[in-house]
Amino acid sequence: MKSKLLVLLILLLAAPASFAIGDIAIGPYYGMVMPIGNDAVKSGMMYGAQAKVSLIPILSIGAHYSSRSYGNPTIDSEILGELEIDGGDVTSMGLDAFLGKTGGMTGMNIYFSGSYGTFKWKRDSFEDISKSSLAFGPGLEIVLPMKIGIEGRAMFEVASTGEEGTWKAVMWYIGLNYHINLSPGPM
Amino acid sequence: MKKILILGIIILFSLSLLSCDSWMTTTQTFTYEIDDIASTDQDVEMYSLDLTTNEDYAEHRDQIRSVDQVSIVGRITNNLETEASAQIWADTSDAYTTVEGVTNNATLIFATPMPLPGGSITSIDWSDGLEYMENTDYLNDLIINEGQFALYGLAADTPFDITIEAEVVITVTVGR
Repeated sequence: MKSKLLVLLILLLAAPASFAIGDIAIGPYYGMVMPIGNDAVKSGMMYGAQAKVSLIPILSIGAHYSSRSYGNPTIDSEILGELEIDGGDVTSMGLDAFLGKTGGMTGMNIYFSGSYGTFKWKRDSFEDISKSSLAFGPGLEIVLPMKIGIEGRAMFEVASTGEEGTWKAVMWYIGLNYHINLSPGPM
Repeated sequence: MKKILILGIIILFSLSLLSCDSWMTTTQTFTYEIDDIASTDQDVEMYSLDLTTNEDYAEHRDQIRSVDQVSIVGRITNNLETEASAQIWADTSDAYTTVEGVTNNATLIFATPMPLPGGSITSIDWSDGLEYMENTDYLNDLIINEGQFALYGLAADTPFDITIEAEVVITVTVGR
């Protein structure tokens, strides 16, 4: 997993030499994560930061870091009443690909994104879990003339349980990106 | 042309993902209440646990891929004035009636790490119960493959007289 990420990171860093990069965007985001088909955790909040490099007008690649806190599920015990279980925190680092209008042009940009990254889950009373995850979904960014983009994205995430199963979640977030437009002429 | 290409890639990507078997799983938690197990070193009590009477288990029994966690929550009463470390043993046989019969044949699945004070009532919450579980591979096998098994309440110290009021909380991964 780490070696794959390293290779992808090297490719990402080497990209400027191979492509006429049109745009670089960086920024934070904040949103929500909702587990699907998993009653062992509840919905929670997430935040993170990302960087994107536009290689060609319809393709960008990027990297992200995110952290989320799942809500605590409860068990109704006949003996002890309502018992709470720690939902825990998940951190993820990974690489992203964006397909569509991703060049950071002023106005509305719609794209489809895919992401591959780490999935580190820490919960009280549990051993730490370290898996990989895939996420994909549509996004929309409105880039303003002052090079600030307001982005909204929804993603469906799947992480392996390591036991013939997967944890799934829907994530959505809103972020702000600062665009460093590198191509000549107006953005 | 560009839009059609992007749409085609997205559709192909989505179809390939849906074909992955491990993606069609859910994580479910259900609770099974155990009646009181009141045991002494002279009279070991057994509880016959039948998970098939639990609607959630019965519905998904054939689809269980893995048992993710098992915890025992509840209340343990030490009825004597001396300390006792409570234990729960499990076996497919419900025939054991003595401490030796249980410890020689059944498998320890739960043990309080510290002795319970004499005359005390101790509550075991979910995280404590998870921590006190023993031989979880054996218990997971009973849950997946048997569904019905016997639980025996004991204590590590003799003499003992304990009452265990408990619920088993089981989290499983279920597939199609």
